Amino acid sequence: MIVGERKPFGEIQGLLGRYDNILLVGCGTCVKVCFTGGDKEVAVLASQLRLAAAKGKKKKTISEMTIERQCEIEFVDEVAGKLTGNDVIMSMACGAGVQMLAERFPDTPVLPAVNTTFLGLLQKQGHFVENCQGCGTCVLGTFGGICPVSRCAKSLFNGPCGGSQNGKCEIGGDTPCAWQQIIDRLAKLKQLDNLKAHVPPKNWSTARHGGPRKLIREDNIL
Amino acid sequence: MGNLNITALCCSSALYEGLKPGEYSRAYVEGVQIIETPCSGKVDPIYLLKAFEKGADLVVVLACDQRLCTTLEGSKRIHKRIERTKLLLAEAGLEPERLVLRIVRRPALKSLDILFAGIKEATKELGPSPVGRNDR
Repeated sequence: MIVGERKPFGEIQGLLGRYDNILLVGCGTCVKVCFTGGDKEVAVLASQLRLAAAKGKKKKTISEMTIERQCEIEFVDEVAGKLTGNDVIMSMACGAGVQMLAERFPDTPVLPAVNTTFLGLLQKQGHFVENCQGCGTCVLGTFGGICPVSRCAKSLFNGPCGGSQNGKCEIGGDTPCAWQQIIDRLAKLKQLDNLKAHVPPKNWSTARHGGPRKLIREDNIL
Repeated sequence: MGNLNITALCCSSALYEGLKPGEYSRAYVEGVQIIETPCSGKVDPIYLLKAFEKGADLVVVLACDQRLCTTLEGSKRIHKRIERTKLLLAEAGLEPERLVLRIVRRPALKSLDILFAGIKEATKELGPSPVGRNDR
């Protein structure tokens, strides 16, 4: 899922400073699951903004709604009528959701309330870790299902660097060494032979380095 | 001070557990809006923020001791939620001290007057909420 983190309240207030009629729009998919931008988080931010406005004796109207999936036009179109008539829309979705609303509502400013952080998984309740960088050429089949692109700080493809100590990465904290994990897992699977072949430098043109990416499925186009 | 608007979210087990039928009536303290919850674990930050939005000067949560929690882990969760809500309040410009958590001895029903008198005394410096009383 896409993991995001709400922007600091001061930054959000700064972005909204000039507007009086504000619509907060959450997303019921990834950012809801990571407790950042679902209906509950929309309600909390709206409440905070109302309290801050009331304290500052300012008259602001804060409305709330959540779209099931903000990055898909069908879901946005379903409720488009409710998104008009505001001075500004503040999206609590990931960057894709924000841009979907900006494209769909060209006459209304659309602002982000969330910093989109990474593609990750829920390791345990409230604990999210980065596991994919969407590099466009998946190598998980070679490396035992553990991604050296996203989980190794140096994105190494031919073994660990010299900084791995006791299974931990030299960047510190509790970050595991991805290469320790790769070797442990391949040993368990009796597939260490996977690592005998030299892996040539990755073609990063399929990643973000090649510019904005696009996927077109002709068979799905109506 | 006497006019402070207090909203209290109270775990119903904390209020009544241990009392026999006929030994109790509905929890009531003059000047306090008491909202009963099935457990303090049901209390979400948005409930607390909404109470302040509605004009509460002080919001109190009454919870059971974690070891006695009828729903096993409910009261364990309230501590972190209170801390988080205090941060949210501070960001919005309200004093976090306006949110009070009390772990009470069950059944708290019989000692509510003393309990709230103590809370009022401990928070008397705060005065009315800066949010105003428009919605009251």
